[in-house]
Amino acid sequence: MKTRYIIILILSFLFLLIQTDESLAQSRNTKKKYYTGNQLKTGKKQSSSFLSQQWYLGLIIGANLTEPVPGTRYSTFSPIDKNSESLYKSYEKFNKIGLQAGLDFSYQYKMLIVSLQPNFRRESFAYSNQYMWIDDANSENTLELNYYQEQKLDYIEVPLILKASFLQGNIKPFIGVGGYYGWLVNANKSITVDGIDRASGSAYPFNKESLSVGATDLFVNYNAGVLGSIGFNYDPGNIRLTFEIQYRYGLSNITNTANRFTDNRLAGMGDALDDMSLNNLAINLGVLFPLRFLSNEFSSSE
Amino acid sequence: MNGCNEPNDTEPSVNFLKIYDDTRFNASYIPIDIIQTSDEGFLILSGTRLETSDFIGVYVLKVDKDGNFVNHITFPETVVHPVANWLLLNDTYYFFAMNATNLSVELYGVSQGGNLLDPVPVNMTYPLHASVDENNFLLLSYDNNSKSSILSVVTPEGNIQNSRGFTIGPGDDIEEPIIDHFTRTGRQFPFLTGRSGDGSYYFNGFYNYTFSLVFTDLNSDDPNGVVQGQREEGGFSALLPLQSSTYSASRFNFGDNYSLPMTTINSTGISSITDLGGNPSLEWVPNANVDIERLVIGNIDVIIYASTTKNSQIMLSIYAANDGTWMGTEYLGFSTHYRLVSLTPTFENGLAILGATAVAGRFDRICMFKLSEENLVRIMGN
Repeated sequence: MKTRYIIILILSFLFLLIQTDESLAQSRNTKKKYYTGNQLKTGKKQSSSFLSQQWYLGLIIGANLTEPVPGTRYSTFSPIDKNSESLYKSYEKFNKIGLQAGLDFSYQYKMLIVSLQPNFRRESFAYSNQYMWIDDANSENTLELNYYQEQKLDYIEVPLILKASFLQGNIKPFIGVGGYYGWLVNANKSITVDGIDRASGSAYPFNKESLSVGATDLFVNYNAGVLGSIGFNYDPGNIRLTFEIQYRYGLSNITNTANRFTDNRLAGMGDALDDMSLNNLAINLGVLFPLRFLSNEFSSSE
Repeated sequence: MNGCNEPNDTEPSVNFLKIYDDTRFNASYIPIDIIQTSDEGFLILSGTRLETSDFIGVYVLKVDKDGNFVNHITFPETVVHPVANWLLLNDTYYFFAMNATNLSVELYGVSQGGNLLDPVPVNMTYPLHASVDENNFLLLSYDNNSKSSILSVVTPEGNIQNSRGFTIGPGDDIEEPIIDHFTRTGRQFPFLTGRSGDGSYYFNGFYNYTFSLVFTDLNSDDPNGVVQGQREEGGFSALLPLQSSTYSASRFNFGDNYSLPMTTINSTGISSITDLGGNPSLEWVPNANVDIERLVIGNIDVIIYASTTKNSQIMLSIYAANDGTWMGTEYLGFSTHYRLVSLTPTFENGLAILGATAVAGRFDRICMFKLSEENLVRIMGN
């Protein structure tokens, strides 16, 4: 709960920053002039506050890599003849590519940019378990099973980012901080099982078997955290192109603890989700369009 | 969007599934009964396959409230055939087992601290079932000399306070399924003991060529009443006295199963079990093992039936205790096969379910489900 309050507080603070007395996007005028980021930055010696701010709306797409960060470990299996740590899952870090696409709704005031980036994103991660049984009368008789489990989580996410832009010219680097809150809309798990049975007279390998199941109930329906970003905006003309690298630090446990065991159809294989948060590295490309233009008379077009 | 489903800080002791795995290839466990201990953990009584005996060995497993392994006791092979139930008396958890050499009954106790007490010999043979009877135990055993089912009141010190034998009938044929039950080469029969609502002792076992429910006051060699089964092909599979002559019960009949959430059983005279009818339980495996427990869930007095389905799931059915109406059903398990062994209520009005499973489709292991009261209320649809 504390995590959620922190996120809500951050998002509220950032939202307040973009509450100005300016109206929202204004319609185009036949004689309007795009006021570029450079001009915003320098002010072009215009005294009007209009000249120091701009609204943008655009599209962003990109790819992401996820790092699962396990907390308390769980397994359906409770070993009676060895340490329970032997059943810990082996997590892959930043190894599965996910994709995201969404909108970028930004407000720039001089060097500060506030971006709201509602997006649909898929975050993927994988872990594996290994189990082995040994005939204590003949140690050559063994059974080895390997479970490889990949999770794909689909979120509708709303990040709010405060960016500081610097340097002049067409290419303007920026850094940013913010928070995000995502709603889980779907989750799937795929399991691949292989192994070797050395007790059947020879080293008999199992064929890889794959199973895909819906897993939405295994995760809580939200994910929240903070993020940092670095990138640059490129203003070639009447559009803004943006390149951004974001690092998300998950603050919430994404595992639905109530369903960890009882609703897990894979529990019989020993699988029970650990408590975990997700860190995520994302690259975004975007194209943004300014929403405020100037008329020839140098007054804002409403 | 739904509201957030917050992680529950008290989890996982609320709901869980645990499978107690042993990396030894040839280890094989046959769970028998479970009881919750004062530290909110559980004691699991189990058998193990022995290579040197026709009987199963004795294995006791202690787990914590979250179902995690704590410790275990593997008994020497001179002690075999542990029988249900766990018997809580004077803060000690008892069970009966059998001496592998002379087939005599022995009483074992495990203290609250998990220590095994010295065994107490009991002058009986072939233990079949036991239950707590006030400050003593009610023991059903078999005497192969007199070919009788013996019902005894046994003190915690191992003394026989009262005992009566009831013939299974002359001839070896009727004894064969009993011996097969002990050696696990045949069907496992649902032997039971207890007291009815009117105070009569009863046992579910072999009497006069038939697997029957026998009522006795232990003052006469003749039963007060008998509900006859169908030789070894029919009889009660579970029985829970509710009040007076009212019971929740289940029965098997040539492989079919019937549940009787509320039925009247006459503890005097002779009657036939087939006259009791019941709801056909078509999902259950033939001659299913059934356990029945009475709980108060969400302030509702309910009866919970548990058994194993033909799909190898554990099936829970909940009925109202006041009129026997069905309230809900739940299935445990999906891709992995589970077999019901027994139920026990937990201190928090939940349910612990002891089962058996085959890990990797090969290795016989003990498993345990724990369901919270909240989860049971959900099953009831409230």
